[in-house]
Amino acid sequence: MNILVCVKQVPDTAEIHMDPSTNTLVRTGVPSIVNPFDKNALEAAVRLREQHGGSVTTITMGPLQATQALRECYALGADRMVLLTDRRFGGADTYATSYVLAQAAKALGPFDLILCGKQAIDGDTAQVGPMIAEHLHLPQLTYACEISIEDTTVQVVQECDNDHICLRAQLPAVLTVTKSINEPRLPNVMRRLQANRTEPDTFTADDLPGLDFSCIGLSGSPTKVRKTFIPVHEKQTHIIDGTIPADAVSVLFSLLDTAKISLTAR
Amino acid sequence: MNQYGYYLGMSQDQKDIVAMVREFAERELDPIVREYDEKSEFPIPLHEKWGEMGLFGQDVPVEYGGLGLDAVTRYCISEELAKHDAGFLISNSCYAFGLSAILADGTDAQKRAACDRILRGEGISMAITEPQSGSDVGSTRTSAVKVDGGYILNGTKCFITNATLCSACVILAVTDPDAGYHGMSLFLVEKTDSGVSVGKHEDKMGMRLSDTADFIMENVFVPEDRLIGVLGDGFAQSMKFLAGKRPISVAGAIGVAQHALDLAIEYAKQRKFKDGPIAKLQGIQFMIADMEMRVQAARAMAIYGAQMTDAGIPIGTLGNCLKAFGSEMCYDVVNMALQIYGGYGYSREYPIEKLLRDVRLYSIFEGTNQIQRQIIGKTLLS
Repeated sequence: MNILVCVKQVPDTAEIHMDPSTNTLVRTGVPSIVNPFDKNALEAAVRLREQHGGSVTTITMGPLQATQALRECYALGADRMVLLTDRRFGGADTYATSYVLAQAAKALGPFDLILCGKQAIDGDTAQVGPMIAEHLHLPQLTYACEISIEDTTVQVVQECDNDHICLRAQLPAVLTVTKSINEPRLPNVMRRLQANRTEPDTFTADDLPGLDFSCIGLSGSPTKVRKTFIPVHEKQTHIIDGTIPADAVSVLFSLLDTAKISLTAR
Repeated sequence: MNQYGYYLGMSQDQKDIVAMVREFAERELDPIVREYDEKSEFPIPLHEKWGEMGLFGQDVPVEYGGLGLDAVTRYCISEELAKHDAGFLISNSCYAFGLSAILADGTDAQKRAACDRILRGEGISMAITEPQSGSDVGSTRTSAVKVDGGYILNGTKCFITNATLCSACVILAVTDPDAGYHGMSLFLVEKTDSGVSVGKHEDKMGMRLSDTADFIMENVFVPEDRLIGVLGDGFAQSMKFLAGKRPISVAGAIGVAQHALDLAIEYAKQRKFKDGPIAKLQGIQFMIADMEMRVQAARAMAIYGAQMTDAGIPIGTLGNCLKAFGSEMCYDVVNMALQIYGGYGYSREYPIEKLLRDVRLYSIFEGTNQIQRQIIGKTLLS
């Protein structure tokens, strides 16, 4: 079972704050971490390798500094580190990012599974995993909280808002995983020290065969950010006269309807 | 820890290892400290996770399959762990306490066997203290009498860290009662040896996650090949390897002090006095400044000592200075943090009270501060 795990280096949101004058994230001095959901994906991949054999390749697109994220993944059990780094990749949105990752998967593969975290904690788009599947014309099973392999198929339990759905697909497939799928193991010191003495396999745009340069980087990104802002949370207090309870409940329900708040049991 | 780490020359390896220890402590240790402090117990499953991270090998040389970490790195690990719980640090690191004595003076076969055990997670403790002889090691009474093929050991060692948890213990015993300091030797005693028993767990004031009990030997036969080092050199061997461990040992005190300082700063910024936080009061600022100065001084001293150890230079009285200064610094800093917390510092609902209970030990164990001063003074005046 050969598995590719896509990871992203993100700013540690616990340490981040907004600059109120510019409405942008202050990233200076903020430590970078491996996107937590990607760690769940890596742990799932390592467990599958432990059950079925094979290897786990971890891949990221980013500047040289992203090597740190790959080394962390190596300490957590990945067999191979791949860094996609090129100035021409810079400014990519989810479409351009997923395109490059998909092309790299083709060049490095074949893989039986491609695993991603359900989303990155900085952008929260949850688009890259599904887009990789589309670029590669592979089945996609998203929000997996359980994974099992049977012969040439993969079965997952998909975590939904109110219930769970069992899904099955033919391998190879692309999966995105949720936090509840596992608790990532603690890193191994010996592997971490080995990682610090190992360089990742590095690929530039020129190293990926058949890459369409019009689909990468800022120019290949259809997303245009018009504005970023901090949502304003307004707090209003309504005091309902409770002299006649039935009337008070009626007033409460009409206020909830006006505010479009549903009380349907979840 | 500032942006450079514990010291300016910290390597990427050291930064990564410290980050891993912090992740372990935040994820595994912090959530259970209060519960285990109350029930006075060492959390064995956490020690097993420590092993899964490959950290059993921190004290084991590379040639014996370990990580072979230098003293500076082990200092950094200990300081980081102590910020979360110093009692856990003590018991966790004492799994390999006896290993230090074996690595210093044991045969290659003894070293290899001991390292294999440590890497498997078996603890080898160290026992010097006895009911009538703490810092006064010369009054050791545990006897080792020569018999055919080995020695018969009798005696009780007290306040032994990991007496319950260890699989074996390095024992300082008298082999020649007439030879004083030159009549003591070190032996490896297995817990499974006939005649070995463990006393009741000490219900201590602090460091309650650490396991402490008596290690009792009644007519225990120990074969000759378990003598560690040279017959009659046990006292000198013990003092030498204890001195070498001082910088790492005091790292615990520095870690707790840093933790108390961090808590005091956070509290001083929140706690209001009239129109503003107490952090704006000069009295509080001076206290914080005094705490910072002392922590910085102790850390610089400890890392200097660790660097000397790594360079193979005996640290001499620096070890004694470090032990006395570090432990007193720590108590003062935690006490000042408690003062800044005011009444809440005295409450068990808040973290400082436990820290003060924990750190009281540092000026007592591994030779009281009075003994340390006596050694420093005598050495300088000799």
